[in-house]
Amino acid sequence: MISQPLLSVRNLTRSFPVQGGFFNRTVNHVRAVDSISFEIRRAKTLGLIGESGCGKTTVAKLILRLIEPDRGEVQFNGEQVLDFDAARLRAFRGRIQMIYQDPYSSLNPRMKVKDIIAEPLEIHYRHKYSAVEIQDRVADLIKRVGLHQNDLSKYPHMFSGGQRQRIGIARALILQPQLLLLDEPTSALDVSIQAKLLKLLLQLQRVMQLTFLFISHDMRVIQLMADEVAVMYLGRIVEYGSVEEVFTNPRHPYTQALLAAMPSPDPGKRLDRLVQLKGEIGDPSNIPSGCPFWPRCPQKIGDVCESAPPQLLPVNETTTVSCHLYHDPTSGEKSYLGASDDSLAQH
Amino acid sequence: MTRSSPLLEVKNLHVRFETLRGVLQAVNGVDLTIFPGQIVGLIGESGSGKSVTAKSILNVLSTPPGITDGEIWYRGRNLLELSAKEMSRLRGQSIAMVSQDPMSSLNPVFTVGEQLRDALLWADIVQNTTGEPSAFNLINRFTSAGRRRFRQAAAQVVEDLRQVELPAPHQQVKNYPQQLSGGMRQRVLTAMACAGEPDLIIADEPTTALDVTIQAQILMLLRELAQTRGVSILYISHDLGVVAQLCDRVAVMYAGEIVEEADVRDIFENPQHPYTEALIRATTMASEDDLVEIPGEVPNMLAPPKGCHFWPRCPKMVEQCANEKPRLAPVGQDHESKCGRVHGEWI
Repeated sequence: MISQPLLSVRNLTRSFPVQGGFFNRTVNHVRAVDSISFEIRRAKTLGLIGESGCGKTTVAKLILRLIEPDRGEVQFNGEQVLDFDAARLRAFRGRIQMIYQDPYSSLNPRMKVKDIIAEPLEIHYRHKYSAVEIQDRVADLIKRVGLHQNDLSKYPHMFSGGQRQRIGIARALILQPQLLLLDEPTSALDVSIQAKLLKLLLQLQRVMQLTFLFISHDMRVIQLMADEVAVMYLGRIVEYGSVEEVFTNPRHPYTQALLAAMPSPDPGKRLDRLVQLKGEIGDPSNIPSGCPFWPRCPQKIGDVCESAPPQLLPVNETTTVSCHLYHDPTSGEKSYLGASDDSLAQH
Repeated sequence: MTRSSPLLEVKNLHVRFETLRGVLQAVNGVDLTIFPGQIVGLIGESGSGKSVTAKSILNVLSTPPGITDGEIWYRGRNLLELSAKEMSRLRGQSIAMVSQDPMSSLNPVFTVGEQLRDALLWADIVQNTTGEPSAFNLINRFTSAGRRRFRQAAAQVVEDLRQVELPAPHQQVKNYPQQLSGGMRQRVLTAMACAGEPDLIIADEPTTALDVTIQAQILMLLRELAQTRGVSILYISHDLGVVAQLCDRVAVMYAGEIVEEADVRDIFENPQHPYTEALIRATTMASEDDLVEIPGEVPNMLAPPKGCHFWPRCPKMVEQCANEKPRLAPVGQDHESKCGRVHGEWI
């Protein structure tokens, strides 16, 4: 059954002014997110992957309208999020909850766990629930995330990083959201703790039919968690497709490089110097013209990469790629060239 | 690799901290041997004592002062018996350290060129003076010898930065650390660590803060350092993937003790301790089944469990595990495990 996607994002764009010089004039713009489009189907997970500074977190904030986009549209359940007034925006934010990377700074140290978990209810449905109802829901959630009833009257500093992240999850779930935005939820945790938390998230997703936008820089985590993957580089999506397709048959040179740089816990498969990317991650305030990846690209085909920005176009039914290797930039039409040698020979 | 005499031999190292809440035994009887040119990985989760072990080798434990017991033999000398002056001759010269956070290890008010030049100057001063090296020589431009030394070091800076593959070293020497990216800072630190032509580099999670493509570059750089200059590296990490990529030999630490030690292929293909096994599965994450529970958390080291430190979390524990302390005993060629069940001490 192909249903309407829960969240659909079209051409979302946001740039930030850089101030400097005399009288703090705007001297430059950082294009943090540039024409991003994706869809997430119900009870599925979209993995958003990329290196630091590529705009992953900005995407999450744009969806929640914590930052207002310059252009583009966000549809949630078929409704235009950007047209919401204050009251509807608040109701919408109850349907989408965010889980943050840092379990230490995202919990108020002066509140007890039960108050932390119940706080969203107070904010969104003031006086609607009785104290007993709230207590029941908190007690139910704390069990679901694998903590103990006794933990409810403790303070956040009495917990380890993994346990705090569970408290953050319980707080996000109390409003019974449909979509969770997970911003690197496990990258501050040890590997054994990370494994447990990922397992918990998978279980909760199945039981509660949750939809995830899972932001991470860790390819292994994305491979495990996601159904679909979007690879970001300098504010743009460079490859977008099903997790099997992207991981077994990566097409964009950047995706290939990310996979090649992933340190495999197998000493038999050592990193190969020849396939590693050279150079630093690009500067988002000074994005190269044409394809943003060309200064680092090992498969650059010529001047076209430096002058013409590639479009994100489909290469087959499930995958879209933004690279001149796969689309003939001279023909205006959307082509399905593939990377056959014949098509490359033209350049 | 020829098994010549070891470069560094840590024997029965104990480090404890006396806190207001009691004695914290951070390192409990660690043995570690590093041969010339060898890269040894020390893996463990946060709080396992791996950084404390590394810092006690250089005697740079921060406050409160750790109380160190045992022997650390380096080129026929016990480092724990050296005077402060002798130790400071060794530090940064024979044994250098690269730390996790490249920003806080560099001084923000000097350019990276100046900082590397001073490291080179100091190395020169230490090597060419008998007795106590004087910091006065760092600023001595009053004698012809001082000026010559200064010119030599300044000329060496660009060359050294080129060796660690810093892009455009001529321009970068004039930059301050905050103007460099994380990966570039880590390269500068590596160049500084190499200034005294050390025999041993202690690298404490140098790639943890870096993006994966940059991490791959730094790992490759370290591997080449070991190959071309014959430097030994003690590499501390919580990432089994990184260790599998880089190291020749691996020691796994848990709660202040080494629980398994073997050659890198051996330990990943044939782990003998239940903790190592769980860590490897949690890192591989090939499927949801690999998210094995290591139930519970790392023990509180103020009151570690009796018997084997891992038993409260161990899936294979038997009664004896909770009462008797296992030994680190051979389970194969050059392969030791601290599990009473595995090497047949009990059951």
